[in-house]
Amino acid sequence: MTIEAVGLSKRYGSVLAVDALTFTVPRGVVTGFLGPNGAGKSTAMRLMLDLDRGEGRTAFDGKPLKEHRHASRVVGAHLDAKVFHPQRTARNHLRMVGSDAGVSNARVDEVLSMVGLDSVARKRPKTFSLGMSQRLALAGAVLADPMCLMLDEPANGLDPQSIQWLREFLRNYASQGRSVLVSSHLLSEMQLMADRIVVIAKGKLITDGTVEDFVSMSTRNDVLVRCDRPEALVELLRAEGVTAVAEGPDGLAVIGESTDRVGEAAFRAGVVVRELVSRRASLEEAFLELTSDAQGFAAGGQL
Amino acid sequence: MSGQIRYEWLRLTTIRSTWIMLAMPIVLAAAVGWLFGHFSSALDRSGQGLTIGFELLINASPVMTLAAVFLSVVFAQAIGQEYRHGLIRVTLTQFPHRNRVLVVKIAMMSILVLVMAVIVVAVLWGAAIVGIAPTGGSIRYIAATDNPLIVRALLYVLVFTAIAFAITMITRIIQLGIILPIVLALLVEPIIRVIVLIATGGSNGGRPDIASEPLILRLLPFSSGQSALATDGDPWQGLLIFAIWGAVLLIPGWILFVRRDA
Repeated sequence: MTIEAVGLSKRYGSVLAVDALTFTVPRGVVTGFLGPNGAGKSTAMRLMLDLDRGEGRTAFDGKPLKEHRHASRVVGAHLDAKVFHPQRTARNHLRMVGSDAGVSNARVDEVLSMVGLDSVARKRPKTFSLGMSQRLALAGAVLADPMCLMLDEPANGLDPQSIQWLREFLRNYASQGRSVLVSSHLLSEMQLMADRIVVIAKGKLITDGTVEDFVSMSTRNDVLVRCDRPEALVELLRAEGVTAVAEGPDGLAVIGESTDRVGEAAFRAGVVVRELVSRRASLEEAFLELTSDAQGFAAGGQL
Repeated sequence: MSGQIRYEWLRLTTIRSTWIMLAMPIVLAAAVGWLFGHFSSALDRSGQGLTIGFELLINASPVMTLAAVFLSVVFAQAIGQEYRHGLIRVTLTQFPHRNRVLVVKIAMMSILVLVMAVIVVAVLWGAAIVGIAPTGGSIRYIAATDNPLIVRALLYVLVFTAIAFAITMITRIIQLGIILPIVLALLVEPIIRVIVLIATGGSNGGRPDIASEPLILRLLPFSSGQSALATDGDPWQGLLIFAIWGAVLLIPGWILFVRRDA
């Protein structure tokens, strides 16, 4: 089931939190939803689920959520970890959440076991840690075995083992032909988890594509060449309109070229090459570079 | 819709406070009914047993109003807890048709409140009989006047609780939904009544008599509601005014629920 968001917009007074956002969450892959703080990710997710009132439309398998007979079998959402009544036991919370899909008590117990909360199933979640609350919220999202998952920062508060489990779980879930949209600030984690990413900043779409496509947009993809006479190579490269920046006493960072081209240029310049390596920006580096002028609530002051 | 009914039922019954709030008016009705019967018999000078009119149980005791207060907590929680704990997003993700969500909530809570009000009346009556019986007294029930009184009492409780629900829907603050009706009924309206009666130079010195009062007093919501528990005057008119107030608050609450961000 594919999710298609078209023209999502939301204004809070004079602030345009989400601005004509259009993207697709295809089936079969995990789609990461990235953006700086205040970029509008959570608002966009709420708009997609019709929880916030704004403009635009979202289709789940071609139809708005309202037009599906059982919405909980279409999409499972986890928008906030602490979404439960503190006095209602974890098990009863899930029994309630599973009402629309007619989920059995056995399924409730199965999901509680899956997220590792079976030992506290009959405890009230008022004493749950953030990590346990995240697991309960995740259990609620997957309870009805929906075709789409929408998770907002599900890894917050999870320990490394749980994050690894979550990554495997979501990849496995998507591999069954389902759609998974997951937002996170953990970019290194997202690089491991997501096949595609939707990046937004100040409510606007920056990119909607594969992680590779996004990273390739970064100027930090370069070729490092170390040689005996870097000044000769720089001269030749600049004459050919190639950007090269000195890096160390004998190194050059050549931007926008392949190792083959730089190797050929070195040969023509008559220099002895000691190292020639292609360097790829990480998702984090690309993200920071491409959203640097669009930080919503960035910390930049000195301590 | 059956899924939503199940959802509401589980939401309601899996919280301990619901059961406490449902038990309180029953306990209260039993206690007040028994005390009413028991101590009324002390007024008997004939030694043959005192007969007390059923209507006194309804309009001379505070049971129906107190039952309404306890049940208004349950009714207000139906929407207030959802906002307070963020569950409204879970609810509306599962059930995206907001109008249907409200219809089911209001229908289920109304049925619950009416059933509880019937139980409260029955317990009040039964306890009063138990309280007065040892002295040979009895509770007189006149179907022609007491049947409509019971209907009005049930509707009074329903409207009272619906007002708490509506205020909670509008403000999204459960405490306001619960406290505001009590403050209005017990503090604000009596003060208005005194001020108006002093200003107009009239006082009936007791229970509101809608027909003879200035218009402004006849339109006060909770005073009108109280007059619905009487058997004199025009109690149906009082109930109607009370119900109109309920509707006046429910309509904007409904519109806001549908239009606002969850």
